[in-house]
Amino acid sequence: MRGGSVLGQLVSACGLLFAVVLFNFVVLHLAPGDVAETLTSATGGATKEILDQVRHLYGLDQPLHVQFLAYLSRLLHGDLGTSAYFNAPVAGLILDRLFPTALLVGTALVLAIVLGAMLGIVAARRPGGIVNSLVSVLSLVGYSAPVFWTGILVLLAFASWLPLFPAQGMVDPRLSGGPIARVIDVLHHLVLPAVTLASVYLAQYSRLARTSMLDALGADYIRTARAKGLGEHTVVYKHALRNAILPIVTVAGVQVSHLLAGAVLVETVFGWPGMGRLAYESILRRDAPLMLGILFCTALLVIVVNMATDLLYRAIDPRIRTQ
Amino acid sequence: MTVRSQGPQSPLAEAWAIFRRNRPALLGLALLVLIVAMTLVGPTLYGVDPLDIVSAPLLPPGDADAPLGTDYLGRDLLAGIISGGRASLAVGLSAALLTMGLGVTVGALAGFYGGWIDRLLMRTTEFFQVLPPLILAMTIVLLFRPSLATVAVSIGLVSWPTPARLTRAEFLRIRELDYVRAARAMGARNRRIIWRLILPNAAPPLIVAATLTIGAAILFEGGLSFLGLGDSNAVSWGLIMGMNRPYIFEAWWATTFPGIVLFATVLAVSLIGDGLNDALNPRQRER
Amino acid sequence: MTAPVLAVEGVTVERQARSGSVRILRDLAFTVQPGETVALVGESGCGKSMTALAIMGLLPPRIRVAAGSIRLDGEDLARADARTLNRIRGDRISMIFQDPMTALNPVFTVGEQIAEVLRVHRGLSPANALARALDLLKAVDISDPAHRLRQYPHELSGGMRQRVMIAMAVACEPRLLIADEPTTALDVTVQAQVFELLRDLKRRLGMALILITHDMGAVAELADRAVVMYAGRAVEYAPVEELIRAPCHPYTQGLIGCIPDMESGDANAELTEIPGMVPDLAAIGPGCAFADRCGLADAACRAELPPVMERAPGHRVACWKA
Repeated sequence: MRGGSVLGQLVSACGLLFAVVLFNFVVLHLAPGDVAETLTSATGGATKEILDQVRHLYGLDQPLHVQFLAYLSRLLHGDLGTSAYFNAPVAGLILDRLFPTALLVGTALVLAIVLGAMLGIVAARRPGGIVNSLVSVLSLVGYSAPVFWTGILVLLAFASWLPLFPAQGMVDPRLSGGPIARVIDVLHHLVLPAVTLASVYLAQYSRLARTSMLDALGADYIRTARAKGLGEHTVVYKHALRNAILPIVTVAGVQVSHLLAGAVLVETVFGWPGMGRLAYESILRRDAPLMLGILFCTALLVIVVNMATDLLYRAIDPRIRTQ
Repeated sequence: MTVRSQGPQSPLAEAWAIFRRNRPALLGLALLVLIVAMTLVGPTLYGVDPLDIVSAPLLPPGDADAPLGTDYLGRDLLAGIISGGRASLAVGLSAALLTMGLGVTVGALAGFYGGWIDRLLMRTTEFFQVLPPLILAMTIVLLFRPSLATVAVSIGLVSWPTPARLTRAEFLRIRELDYVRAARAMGARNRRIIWRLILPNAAPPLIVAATLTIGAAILFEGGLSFLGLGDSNAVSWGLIMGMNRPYIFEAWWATTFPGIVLFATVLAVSLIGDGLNDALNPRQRER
Repeated sequence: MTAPVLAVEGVTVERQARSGSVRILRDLAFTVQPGETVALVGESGCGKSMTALAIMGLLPPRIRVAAGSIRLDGEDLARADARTLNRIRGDRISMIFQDPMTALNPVFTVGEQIAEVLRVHRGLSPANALARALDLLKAVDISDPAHRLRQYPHELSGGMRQRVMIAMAVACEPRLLIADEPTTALDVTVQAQVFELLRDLKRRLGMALILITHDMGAVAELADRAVVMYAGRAVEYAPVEELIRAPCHPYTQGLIGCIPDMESGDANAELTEIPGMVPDLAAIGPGCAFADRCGLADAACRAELPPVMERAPGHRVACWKA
């Protein structure tokens, strides 16, 4: 994805989005059983009238390509269909859940990158030290531990045995305070799910940061920096880190889709009212239109974030910028 | 550079010699053997049906009837953990096989032939990297009715791009090596070049990737089952955890114990993967 | 004789290893007078670069100066702490490296990297430092210097990057510049230009130069004196004209035989005419390290290390047969 003009990126992003739409359409029509029944199964056995209504609404009696064009046109108008269970537009349902998920995933990502980079730097500077071993163990455990299990352990530890944080949800409904109290309440609820989600990626970023920092510290330009008489602090945090951060940004961009997937499990464990929780609910209700809408929206989110990462990368790596 | 003695050892024996000296990897191997043995012979030794209600619900561990306690319906947790391994491991293993089969085939074709096949592959992997894997698998399982097969296929479908990229990179590298060029110049058939010349030399990183894929697939299956998307007739570790999730504060054991076994299994596989990486790719060990 | 800029005395450098330590440099001694050019000559692995890094205090981990002193204007660098070294490096002594493609930091502009030296050592403001960096780019004959200032290393050719390295190194008008094979990685045509630039800057700034090279042609052209190194030892040490006219050590004689034909300009004909290979430093016997490759060597050469002896004023050699 990297390289090429910004316009090229935009075109390629549109192509990807079109592929997602096509994929959704194909999967829905490949599913066993009647499409109208699949779309309404969440209502628990729809009547003949409702099925006919759905068939007419989605033009299911039309040829496939007409159906697809109609589907595409509805998407372009922001119509993601109707949730059979909630009996509400899918777009609105998802939009309501966008902020909590963005807050959770964003916090976890920042936490993982910042802490991971710090651990990785310390580990790289002392290859025989404790932190180095810690990074190795952490990356192994972080990779192997199921995130929903980690979440349950965190809940048991910090919401039950040591009740420091609330166990479920994003806000305390009993709270009656000003806006500042509300923000603090949300942050209070955010701690456990964010730490849980971050733990997986902290493991990866600390290892990645160690590798790229070792590479950077071994580079010729670091010897040059030392030969210039720069202090150790400048050498490490200006000259080495500025280069070591590049692979971390790349990987962070690639992993946003994994982070969103992890959010499904974490939001389920912590009752966090985000898109992941909504996906879980749509599974429970067998709400196909809602699930397809979530797949489309998360893919859209990933594409947008990837483009943002790309712009960021251009900003910090001059070798890309001036090509 | 130290010169290693070049005895009459085969590369495989040499890799095993390195692997054998790797303590964490041996530990992982022992752990995995233990877990697989438990899954295979456990149900006959411990003759409790995991679906039978044997006692009061949410009984804590240490009970004579249920050593690890009971779940929210009063079913024996130990029996569940022992039987649950079968589904978790079977799905994990078949999903990993599917992932590697699909990934290596596509990656090999793209890397060997290049051109439009290659471009198509790169576009496709880009597409799959945009879809959050778990959400994609959830959609597929939802639309196609949950069963062990659906779960395995959906995991394979979302995981194949990673080994495909790796295989492609290896093929691109190896196909330019002198002995491959020489074979080509002597008129060797493509099929022979792929199977006899390139694939064996691409094997070490692919074996490591396959190991890691098994671990990832077991984790993935756990997640899907936890969300209630597994086969509800087949007990699995993730399913037990998902079912008992509403009762974590009343019965910590019912979610924690299956989680420990799931974690231990993936950890064992990861340790073996790290060990294999050291044993098979000695050039990377310098770090 | 005036006081030397640099006096290296009895320097021994060791690499710590599990199986004990290996001596990389043995009892090395030479001086550099103000404004003088001294060449360190020898094959790859003879310890030339290690000597430079020892002087700069930039030895890699687990390698250290075990004995001897390295005095810059009387101050012993071998015993200086990190703070003192940082104050001196880039200011009174600086160094340029072999590969300009990797020696510059890819994420900072050329201007930033030159200005950084001036800000650290001269305390200049960012704007003043940049203005001074522009002067320096002019001084190293870079075309369109104002534009180059804002460019990144990857936008410049190898020759231009080496000029930037030189500009950076001379920014604080050092007493001593160490150039470690400064042209090896460059095109043949560019090599001559870089040598010319070094000669010119040396004259204008009055600095001393240590030139590390395996190219005897460059030594003949640029250097006043030369130290010939073999297996971590200085085996011959003499004014350049005398060294070339009457080399004493068989190894030096071999090197001189390898001076590339000036007509063909083939500077990469790297010392292939001496048979054999540089010995493993960990496996050197008690005698002369060159004995195995030397046509004159006998049992005595292999039994005992030849001491450094003065053959003529300023001409020293370590060989039993010289």
